[in-house]
Amino acid sequence: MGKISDKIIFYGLKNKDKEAFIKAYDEYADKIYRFVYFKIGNEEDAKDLTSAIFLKTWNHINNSRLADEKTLKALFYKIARNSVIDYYRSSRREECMEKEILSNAIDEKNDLLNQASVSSDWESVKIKMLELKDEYREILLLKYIEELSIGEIAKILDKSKGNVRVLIFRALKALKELMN
Amino acid sequence: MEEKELIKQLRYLKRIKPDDYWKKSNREVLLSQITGSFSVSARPDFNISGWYGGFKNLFIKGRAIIAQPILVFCLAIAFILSGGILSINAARNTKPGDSLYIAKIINEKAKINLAFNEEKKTKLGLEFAANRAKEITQVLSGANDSAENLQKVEELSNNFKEEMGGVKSRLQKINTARRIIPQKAVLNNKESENKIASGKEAEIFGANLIKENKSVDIFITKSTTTAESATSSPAAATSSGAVKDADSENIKLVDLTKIIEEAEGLFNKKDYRGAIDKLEEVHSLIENKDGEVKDENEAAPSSSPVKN
Repeated sequence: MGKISDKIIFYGLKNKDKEAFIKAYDEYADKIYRFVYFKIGNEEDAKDLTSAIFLKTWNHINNSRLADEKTLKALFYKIARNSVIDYYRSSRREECMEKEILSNAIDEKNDLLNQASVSSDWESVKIKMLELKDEYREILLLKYIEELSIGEIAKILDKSKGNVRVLIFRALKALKELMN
Repeated sequence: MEEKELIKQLRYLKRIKPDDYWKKSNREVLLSQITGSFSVSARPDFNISGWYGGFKNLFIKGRAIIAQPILVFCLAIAFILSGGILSINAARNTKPGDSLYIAKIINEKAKINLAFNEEKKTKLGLEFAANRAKEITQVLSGANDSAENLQKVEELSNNFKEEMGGVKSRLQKINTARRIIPQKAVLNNKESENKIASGKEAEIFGANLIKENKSVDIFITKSTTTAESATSSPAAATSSGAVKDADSENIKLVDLTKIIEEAEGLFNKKDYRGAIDKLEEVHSLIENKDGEVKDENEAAPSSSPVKN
């Protein structure tokens, strides 16, 4: 999505335009779902959270007067991140967050192994991604799956560009080690 | 696995998506939810608190509709008035040829027309005549002796003469008005004296007719004469006082006229500074006279316990 069309949708949402909301949903539903899915590793919860994130974004745009976010993309991902944090806090699963993701990944892995064979490399990458540290998983997702720029990632994660670059390097290295 | 291959595989993860059915149904749910939030926020007060809410809403809206034009109108009036006052203040020290000079002249005319008595008008006339003389000095102070300046001086001289003519005629009016009042006072005084005299005669005549009650009549005559003299004495005093005042006023007015003529003489000799001084002298004399009149008026209640 181009920056201009992104801004048009953003201003449409600010003016409570339902058409703009539909466009934003069609554009970001998959991305946000994917982001949440890789964060929590559960399809159903990811769906519920995605739905909640869209509502939160709508309310945020219409109720807050401060246009602190310059792009709709950055706003969606920030709200998604915070929603995941809230999800773990509210269900008191913060402590076992990593464990749960890991167990979810293992379950999925077992399911896949139960199938005749691992159909392709990307599915094994998916499993390994779920085994990665949350910070690494997040940054690889934003960089290589969602194909965001370093600047956009830095804005979403509230980190410097240099810090983001270092994190990407380390995450990629960690995934490579896991794959090998 | 190499890094490039790994990145390529990571990009394949884009395939992870929610199913289309969920997406579609969830979109409908979300749309209905945001539409619901719309209708709640747009709900009018009528439904919440009935007629009172509706009336209140209408009143607040109506007040805003009425208040805004009134506010704008008041601001516009304030702006115009403040502009006028500022321009008059700015025009105070202007001379002919300046853009605001006309505002000064209009202001002067307005002041004269709004003055409530002749004395006030006279004072203003003197002030404005002095202004003309000052303006002439301002025009002449410029090194430029052009025909334009000479024309301005001529115009100002004519205006000065007009102002002086006005002042003189007003002084004349004041003079004639003050002559009429003392004459009336003198006439009243004479009438009252005549009444007293005729009263005495009548009483004495009555006393001669009824000899038995002579002593009583004499007493009545005495008492009435004393009473009448007592009652007529303040009138006589005031009338004699008025005559004295009128005389002194006339003397003062004569003095004022003399000084004004002197000022005119000085002006004709082109001694503008001297003419201004003379006019200021007349102005201060009129003001001092006002002060005296005020003092007399203030003193009057304390000096009239005669009726008691």
